[in-house]
Amino acid sequence: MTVHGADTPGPQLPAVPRRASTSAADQLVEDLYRGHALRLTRMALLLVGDQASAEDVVQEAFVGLYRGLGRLSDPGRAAGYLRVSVLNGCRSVLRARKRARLRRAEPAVAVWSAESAVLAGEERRAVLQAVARLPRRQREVLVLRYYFGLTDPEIAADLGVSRGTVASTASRALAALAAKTGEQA
Amino acid sequence: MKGLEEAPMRAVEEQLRDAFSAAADTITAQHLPGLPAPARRIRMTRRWPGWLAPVAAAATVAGVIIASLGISGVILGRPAGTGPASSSRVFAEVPRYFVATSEIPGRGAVVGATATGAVLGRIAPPEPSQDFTWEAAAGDGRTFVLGASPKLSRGAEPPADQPVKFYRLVVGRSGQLGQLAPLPIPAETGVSGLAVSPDGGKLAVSLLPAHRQAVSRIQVFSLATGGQREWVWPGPGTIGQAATSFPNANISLQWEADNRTLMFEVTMRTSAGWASGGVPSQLYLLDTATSGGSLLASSTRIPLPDTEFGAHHSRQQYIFGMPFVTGDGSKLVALFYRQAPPPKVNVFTITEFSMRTGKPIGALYRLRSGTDLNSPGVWWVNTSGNAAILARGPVFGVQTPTTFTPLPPAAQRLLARPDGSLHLLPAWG
Repeated sequence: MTVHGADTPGPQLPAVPRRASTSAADQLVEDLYRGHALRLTRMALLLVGDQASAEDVVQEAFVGLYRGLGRLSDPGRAAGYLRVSVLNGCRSVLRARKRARLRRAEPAVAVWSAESAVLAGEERRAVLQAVARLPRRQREVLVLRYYFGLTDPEIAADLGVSRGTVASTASRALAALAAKTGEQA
Repeated sequence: MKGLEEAPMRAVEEQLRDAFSAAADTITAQHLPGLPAPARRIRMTRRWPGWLAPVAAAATVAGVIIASLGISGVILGRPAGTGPASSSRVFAEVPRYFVATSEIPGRGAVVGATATGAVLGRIAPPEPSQDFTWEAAAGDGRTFVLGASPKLSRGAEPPADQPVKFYRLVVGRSGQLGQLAPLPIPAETGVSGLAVSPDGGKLAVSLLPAHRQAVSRIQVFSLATGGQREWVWPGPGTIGQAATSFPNANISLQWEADNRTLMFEVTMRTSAGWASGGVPSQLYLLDTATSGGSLLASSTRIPLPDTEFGAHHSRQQYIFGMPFVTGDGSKLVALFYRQAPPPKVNVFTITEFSMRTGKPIGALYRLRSGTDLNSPGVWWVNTSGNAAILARGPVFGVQTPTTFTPLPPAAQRLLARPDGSLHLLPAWG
């Protein structure tokens, strides 16, 4: 039985007057999965640290998409819906881990940790470790901007904050990283 | 980038892109699981605890536990249903009260009535402690021990070695709460397990290596005098480490009804990482009548043939969650988990094992599901193993070999959210 909190709900899908047929809906989701699952899983990996958690978060996001499919009028918005769902899922994973650490549970091995053998390069590890120590919103902004390649207005829409907040958050995060990497240099 | 040099910022940005790209590329399309089945859309009632997700997801290929253990016939021959039962008679089989703590800092603890869900009272941890982080119950169902820790600042990571102070709480026969009384034992750091003996006379605490202690330990205190005995694990194994990564983490130590035998879990780990090739976690029975010293010398290993237990397993079939030992010491009740193809088809079986042989002898509950959202959990087992408090997804109830009787709605609301995640972490004695 779980001890983590109720998760932040995904964004509401827009209501539409008619429901897509099951086969068409399934085809849409399959297309979305083929087109976006890998990139979303990689994004989740950068936020939660381990592949298994990242995969689960993305799977849950697609489950959420299934549930709201009947109200999805614009398939073009589905990718954004999935991205925000993955962000929320990553937050849930990280919240739950706090409780696990309180219980002194052994965390999953992060891709940037010394125990992980999948990532080459000490400098990369150091950068990712520094990112992992940033506040949650700063991490999200950096991943959305420098991995996902979103613009600041797109990031603002995903995170539900103003464009100015995105810019200032990114600035603070970069400054913190510059200070940390400078210390290590 | 106001006030900052642009060149260093550009360098940081390039480092970020490179590091993100390199880490992301460790996942390839070939590694991705399949698309979740459409049927999952109607069963969103529960999700794995986040820190367990890696455990569940790691089992990407089926290992047929049930078949390998040869217990299919046992399960089929003894179905566990949800037939009607007299709830008052069923609830008489389980502890009258429970204590529960919240994951939300500052919420304190709650004492509730199992059969009604009535809240008997809410207890705030005394100053300077601010959060209850551990809870355990004695066999009388009315005596509880709570562990309290310093308050965590908002968003802070829990410190590695925060001290835990212990308090006793007794519920009167008519349900009135007594005073929270500090126990005459020292505050402990590195707590990984807590259990009150059935007679309420002793407290067992397991400790991970902390401070200058390089090894895991179990201490047993007399709650009357504070007298202490200590057993030390001779090696790099950690006690309670695997259990604390499970949902029912608060039962990582368990007493048998004789008030002498204590079950604990050891996970083998070396400085180089988790042990490979062998079984990473083992269950042992400690004879607390011994005078202390080596845990290994004072304990007996519980046989678990053909399976594995622990969060870090090298096989893809394993016991999920901390097993329960029945009070009479005859059986072990464990939740088995396996993932069958196509990806993410989950099979859960709550199975009883013989403590003597390690062989399965029956099943209390079995669930095969396309989603892991209704995963069950074991929270309490009676002395003979024929009644248990289970969670079937978000629903807590009393499981017997033939019936499942949900706790009343008030208790359900108190313990779990509609999505199955817990409001509170309960302990029954």
